[in-house]
Parts: sequence; C-alpha cells; structure tokens
Amino acid sequence: MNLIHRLEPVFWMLFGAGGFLSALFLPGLVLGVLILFPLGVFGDSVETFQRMRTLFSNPVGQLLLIAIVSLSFWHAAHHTRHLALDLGMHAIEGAVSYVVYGLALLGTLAAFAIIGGL
Amino acid sequence: MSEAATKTPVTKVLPSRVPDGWWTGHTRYRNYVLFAGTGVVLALVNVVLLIAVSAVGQGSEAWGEFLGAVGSVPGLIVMVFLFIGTAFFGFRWMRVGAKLAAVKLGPLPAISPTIALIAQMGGLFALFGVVLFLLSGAIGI
Repeated sequence: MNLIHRLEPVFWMLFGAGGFLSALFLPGLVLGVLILFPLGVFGDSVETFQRMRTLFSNPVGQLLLIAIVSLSFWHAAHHTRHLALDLGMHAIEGAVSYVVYGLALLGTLAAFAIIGGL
Repeated sequence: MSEAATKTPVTKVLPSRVPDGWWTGHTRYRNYVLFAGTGVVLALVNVVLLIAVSAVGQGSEAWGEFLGAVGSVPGLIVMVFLFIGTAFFGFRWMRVGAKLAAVKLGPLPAISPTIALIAQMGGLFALFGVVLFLLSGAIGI
C-alpha cells in the first residue's frame, strides 16, 4: 500500500470539511466579491475596499477565510484525483495524486501567507 | 498460522472503467462527472479570492484595478461561470448530505428525504444570505 492510499482517511477528512465549508460559503463569496462588487451594487471601490479590510483583517474573519480557502483547495484536489480515476486514468493515479495534493498544499501555504498578512 | 493465512488478502476486482457513450446515455454518470469536475472550479475560485485579498493588502488602488479586471466583460463572463459552478456544487453537495441524513440510525425513525432536503437547503441559502448581507454592509461588524 503506497503513501497516498495510507493517507486516504486524512484526505477524506479534509475533503469532507472542505466540501461543507465550500458549499456554505463560496457561492455567497463569489457572488458578492467577484460579481456584485465589480458591478458596484454594494458601493464604489473605496467603500468595498474598506468593507473587505474590515471583514478580513480581524482574526475571526482571517481564520474563517483561511479555513474556507485552504480546506476548499484540499476538497478540490481530492475531487479532481477521483475525477481522473473516473475518466480511466488509473495508470497515472500516483502522479495525479502527488500533483493535486501538492497544489493543495501550496494553496494552503498561500492562504496563510496572503490572508494572514492582511 | 499457515503462510497463506498471514499473507495480505488481495481482492480480485477489475479496475473501474468509463461506460461507453456515458455523456449521452448515462445521465447519472454524466452528472457525477460534472460534480467531480467542480473541483477544478473550486480551485479556480480560491485562486481568484486569494488574488482579491492580495489586492486588498496592497491598498485601495490595487483593489480598484482588481475590480476593473473582474468587472470587464470577459472577466464577468468567467466570474458568472465560476458562480454557476460553485452554486451547482453547493446544491449537489447538500443533496448528497440530505440523502445521508435520511438513513435510519438506531431506534430513531428515518428522516423523510424531503424534510432533510428542505432543512439542508434552508441552511445553505440562509448562510448564503448572511455572507451577502455582510459584504453589502447591511450587517455591520
């Protein structure tokens, strides 16, 4: 049994937690931050800048956003690995696993650095 | 204990394979693959959110430039696609959760799948509203 298969319960836990956080928070964040903010529905860029700073520069907001983004990366990695298997890529499962979980780790580190540094 | 009994058992199963004509003939499989494909959408959403937060960290000018980029017509088309992907993911994830909640546990009566679905979708859309209220400034912190 290789390392990826031994760690399957850990990946599954991260996948489940990331799934719930993504389902509950990401649609609202995408609609608000990435669609309604640019359209000016919630005010001009100065107002939305202040609101983003207020929401995500305090420890509670930072922790929540770090949890959402990093766990969502792990969820996406596990889902993408299984998508590859569903599409018949069994021969390259090991390579796919290392790439997607490696990217999730990078995303997690980036989330801590960028959001934590706000 | 014999040598055969101590050996790790190996289950002999054929590897799963993609059914022929799955895109048109197997609705369940196609929807499942679409759901699994939302993993890519979620990863892209997280990257864009990190770029947004990074712009906030660089100041109001960088934030204005970020809004200009995602507010352009091509940017908005991509963002609407990402929103549809995340909304589809959220809906489908909660639907799976409702099916799990409907499983009978111990002596408790099984929850009706309809009630479970209404409760979980209610939770999903309530939090969706809270996030939007927070971003709109309607709820101050």
